[in-house]
Amino acid sequence: MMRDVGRGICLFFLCMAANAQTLDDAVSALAKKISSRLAPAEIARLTTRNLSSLPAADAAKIQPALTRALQRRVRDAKTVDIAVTISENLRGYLLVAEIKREGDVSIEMAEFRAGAPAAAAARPAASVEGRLVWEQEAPMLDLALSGDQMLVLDTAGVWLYSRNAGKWERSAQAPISTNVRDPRGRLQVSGDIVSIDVPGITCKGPANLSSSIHCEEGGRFTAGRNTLSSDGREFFTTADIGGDTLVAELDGRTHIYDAAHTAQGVFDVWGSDFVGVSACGARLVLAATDNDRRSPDSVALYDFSNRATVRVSDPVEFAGPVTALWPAGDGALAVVRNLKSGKYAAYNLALDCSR
Amino acid sequence: MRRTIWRSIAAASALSALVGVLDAARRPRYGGELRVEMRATLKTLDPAEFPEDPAALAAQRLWQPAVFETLVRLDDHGQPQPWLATSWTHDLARKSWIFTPRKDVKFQDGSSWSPAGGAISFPDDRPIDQILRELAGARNAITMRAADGTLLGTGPYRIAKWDAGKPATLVANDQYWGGRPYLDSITIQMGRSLADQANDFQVNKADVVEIALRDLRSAKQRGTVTSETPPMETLALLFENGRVPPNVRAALALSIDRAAIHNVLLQRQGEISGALLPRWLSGYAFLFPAERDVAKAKQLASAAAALSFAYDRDDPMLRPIGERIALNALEAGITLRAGNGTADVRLVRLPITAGDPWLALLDLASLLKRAPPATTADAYEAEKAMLDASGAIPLFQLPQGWTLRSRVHNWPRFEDIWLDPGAAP
Amino acid sequence: MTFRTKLLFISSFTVAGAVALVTGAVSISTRRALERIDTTRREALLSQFRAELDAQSAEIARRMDLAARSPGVQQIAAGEAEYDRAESEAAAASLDFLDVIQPDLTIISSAHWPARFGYKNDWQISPDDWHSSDVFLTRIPTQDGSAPALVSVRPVAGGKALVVGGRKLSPEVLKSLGIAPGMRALLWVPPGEVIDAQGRGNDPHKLDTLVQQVRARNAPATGVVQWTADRASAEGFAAFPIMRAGGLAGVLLAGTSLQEQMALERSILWTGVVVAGSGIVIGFLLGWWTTERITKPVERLAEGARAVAGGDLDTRVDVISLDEIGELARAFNRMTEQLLEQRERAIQAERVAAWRELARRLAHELKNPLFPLQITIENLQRARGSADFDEVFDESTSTLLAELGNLKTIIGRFSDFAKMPTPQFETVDVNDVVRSVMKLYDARFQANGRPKIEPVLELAGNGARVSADPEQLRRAFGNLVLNAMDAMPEGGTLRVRTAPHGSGVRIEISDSGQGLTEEECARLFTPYYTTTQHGTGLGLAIVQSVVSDHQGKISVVSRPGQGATFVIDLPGGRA
Repeated sequence: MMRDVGRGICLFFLCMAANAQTLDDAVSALAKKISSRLAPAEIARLTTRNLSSLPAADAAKIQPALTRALQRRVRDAKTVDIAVTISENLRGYLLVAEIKREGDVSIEMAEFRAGAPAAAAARPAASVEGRLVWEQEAPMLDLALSGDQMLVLDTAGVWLYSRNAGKWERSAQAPISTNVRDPRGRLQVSGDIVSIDVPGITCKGPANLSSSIHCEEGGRFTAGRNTLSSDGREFFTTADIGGDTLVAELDGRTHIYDAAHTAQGVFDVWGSDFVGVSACGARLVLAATDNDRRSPDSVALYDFSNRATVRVSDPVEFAGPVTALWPAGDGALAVVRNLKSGKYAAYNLALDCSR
Repeated sequence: MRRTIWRSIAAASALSALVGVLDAARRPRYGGELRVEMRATLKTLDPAEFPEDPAALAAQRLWQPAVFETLVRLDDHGQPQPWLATSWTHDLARKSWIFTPRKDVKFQDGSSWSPAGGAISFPDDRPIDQILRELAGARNAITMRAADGTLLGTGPYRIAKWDAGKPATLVANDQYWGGRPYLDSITIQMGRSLADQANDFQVNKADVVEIALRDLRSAKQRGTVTSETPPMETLALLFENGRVPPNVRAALALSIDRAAIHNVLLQRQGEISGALLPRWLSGYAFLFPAERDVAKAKQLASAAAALSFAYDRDDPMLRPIGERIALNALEAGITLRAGNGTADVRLVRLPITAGDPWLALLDLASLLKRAPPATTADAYEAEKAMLDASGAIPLFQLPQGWTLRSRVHNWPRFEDIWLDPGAAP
Repeated sequence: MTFRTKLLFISSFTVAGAVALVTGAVSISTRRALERIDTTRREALLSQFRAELDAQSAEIARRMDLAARSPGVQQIAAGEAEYDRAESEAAAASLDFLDVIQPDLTIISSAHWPARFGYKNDWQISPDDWHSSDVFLTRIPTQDGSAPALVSVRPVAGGKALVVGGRKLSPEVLKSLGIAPGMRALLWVPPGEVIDAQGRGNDPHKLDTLVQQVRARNAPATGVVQWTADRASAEGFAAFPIMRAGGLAGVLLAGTSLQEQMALERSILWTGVVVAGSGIVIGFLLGWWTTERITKPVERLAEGARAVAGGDLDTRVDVISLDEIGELARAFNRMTEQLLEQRERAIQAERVAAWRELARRLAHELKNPLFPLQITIENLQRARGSADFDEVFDESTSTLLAELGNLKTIIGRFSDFAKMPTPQFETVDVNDVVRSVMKLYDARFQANGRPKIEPVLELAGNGARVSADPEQLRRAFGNLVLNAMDAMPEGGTLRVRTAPHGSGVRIEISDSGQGLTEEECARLFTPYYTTTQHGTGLGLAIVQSVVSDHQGKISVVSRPGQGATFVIDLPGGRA
């Protein structure tokens, strides 16, 4: 299936490339079109206006470029007014030339896409550092690093990558189908054994995927849902913090239970994903912000010593929503969906108590 | 900003189902019933049916993807993306295009969607881009007629009840290939006036209601959760019979003070336009003139007979605009007399039903009863030809707005909508 | 027209006329009384109407004061409200119209026509109105045309804007007047709209004349308007002008339907017609009975008179009455009795005269032969014994015989006349008869020694067949020919002409003799009357007898000196 998808995407990009000219290409194409409309004795008199979001600096380049492209030496030339409008539509920018003669206007257009600004690198805050580990197209659920090997769980299954000359190369695969909206999964390596949980299924097998892994129904995640199950109760996340248990429940809020499972309170500050960490000598929680998925998220460190949420670090800003947040070592692993590229990136979140 | 929102909506809807999108920090909650109200009355969601009523067409195009899906969908850039077809290629002779169907796709009765031969072949030597755009059209949705006559699709919801004039119910398709939607069901109350919708929203009888454009700003100021699209409908004057001569049509177009209507009646919502398609979709809308010239209009309209003028008087947006247009026309010497039934001139809301100029023009052509544009035609030329042929006078392109209860997330991406139980009602 | 008919007409029309007079008089007096009542009712309604308008105006002024002070209107004036805010402000102030306008009349917000923002207010507001809180009647343009309204103006935002508003003068305003059945209040507003509580679709132009009267005089007026061809649609109106700035802003009209009055008049009329009709019928019957009694004796008298005129002098009129008619009948009867007696006396006298004439004729006829007989006998006596006695004797006996022969002829003629036989009818060609008669006398026409008579025949070409006794015809024609020959002793022309006459034949026998006097003509056919000295006077009597037996007619046309023409008309068939 991935192969099919990949082919489709390839075709899609080829298709996009046909339309997505650069600004220079578009100017050149438009100049060619305008020239074909001009009689030998006609020269163009250009005016331009920018109705688009194209930066003024880029827009300013267009008129000189077009003027150059249309320049010709003609005796007794007849001037033709050409109004060029920089516009845009959902596919990109559009150069529209209105070639105006007496009582007649002809139209020529050329499309282009501006170079996408580089995605702003996520810069972790001083107290929590986020380090990009891996990025891929397919929705990533979890990731585990073990020396020169990396296991990546996504919606198609588990992939084993090996580092070779500083680059990660795919070396093995174990397909596990996850047909759930807002799918979740957990990958845990214990020695040579990897256990994998996805909604309704739990699997176990060798960490190097040398042989097929064994899957069966059940596990921590509710079948067909995006929740965890325990004792017949469903919830999104749970974390043990110094005797208390924090549970992100289905009402969207975080509930506090003591060791006797007695409700101690409820608050509505975090999102559905958080990780309890024991570091810096306090009851700390790494939690994602409570945004919806159209907005970029951030992850910050909270002190929960007094059963109150006090942010103790600057937030680590990401280029998209945090789609997964799992404990990893002393810190956590955050999977972020980049809103601009659409790719999924895994960040290792490390705590720096010294700041 | 609106454009960005739209892009993000489209991008999400386009990409979300590829494998199932991971959601945000606040995880979606499964379950619940979403109660939606709308003005339009839609008799059926059947993609083969084309509602003549523009409002019904807009509603159909909005709701169809919840039930029926196409081989490809258009993304936020208007580019076709794999959907029920995961890839495509041409045959060796380059005479046919072969589409690979997505595996594990089931119709809403549980039967598998498995095209014969494991592939779908289109004997068509046009460029693939044109074919894909055509396939992305709602008319080309994959459907199946069940033994009992029920029309089935492959979408995230199935139709549990859809009787004309009654509340419609969609229920979650548990076997949806992209993962069961979060909602258990959606109830759609049709034919509700904006005032009734506002009342129902107030008394918590509805989760999503339409909102008049002029109220959008004040709703936001009050802190009400709203959702707004980029301009998704074109307000236009149509000439229903051939009685109005071209000079009078031109005079009428020149007489209308779009700026005053836009500034005052529309509270600067939407865009002034002389084009059928909005600028965000076409990029060239400014090429169609929308300026006022009363002196020229008077010249053109000399000795024009009175015209009957119709519009939906129950529509709180159309009514003042219609009245203002009649006043403007009178300045140019054109009398527009309010009438019902078939009229010389009618003020209508034409929906922009697709994120692709050609698909949008295809539906507009059907509404305007004009020949569909050729897939090879340049969109500008096609739109210009349609305007010239129909004599329609586009006036504004307007966004569509909804008021949402704060617990509603991800409207209007039906498969991703979920209800937050912790949110205030 | 008969006397009876005349009498009938006179009696009937007398009754009908009397009824019509009474009906007319009742109708006119009733109408006048109703008109007086209507006028009073209309004036009362008009007063009520004006009072209601004053109350409405006061209410509008109060509401406008409130509206002008309302925060909403202040916000509109300051440009801080939405374009249609005036709508809610008008609703809050219970006003139908509310425009917030700039001093140059540009509309900022209009309640009844929100789309008119930016246009000029055209409620005919003058700068005087800005500083007056008066309420005035004006016409307000609306999307459906225009509507009359009572409006007022107030400055807002320290005079930077104005608020103008008011209420529509709708039929509901008029309904509140509590108008009595048969009455209605109308408001006429320029250019010609009528507001009617009952919403009747009357043609407002029908009120033009009345409105013109009011406009011309600037004073109340009254009039009657007939809305349709039906007279029952007529309505009486009292009109009162509403003036503004010297012009006519409207006219209050209080109307009463004349339908009841018309119905009453019609009822009276129909009663009159029925009474008149009954009067005519009764008058006719009465007249018939009366005239029957009056004219029956007269008719009998007339019949009797006609009978008397026809010769029936035995007629008597049987009238038993003591009045003038009875007297007249008795006089009539006496007259007929006298006429009968006179006729009998005349007949007797005529008979005596005829006998006398016969005796004279007989004496005359017989005396002529007797005298020669006497002379001859006396000659014989004197010659007795003389020598020439024998000669004388012979001569005398010859004379005696001749004269005795004459006597015998005379007696024979009388005998013939007495013995006229019954005609034997057969189809006869009259021309043949004429020819045979003329042939018989042809020799005598040409006889030597006497003046020549020239016969001229002018006979009908196609024959002249009649049913007749040919012998009697010959005899009659022969007598007439002889008569003509006698009339022409100096000779002349005898003209006989036959010609078709109706279905029969006309025979004319003319002579060119000395003619006849009128008296002779009158007595010509009397028996034994003759104009000749030697005739018996029976010839023409015989002719008349024959013609009479053939159902024919004979007459004579003659003037003295111009001959005479006997004309016989014989009928075509047997009677």
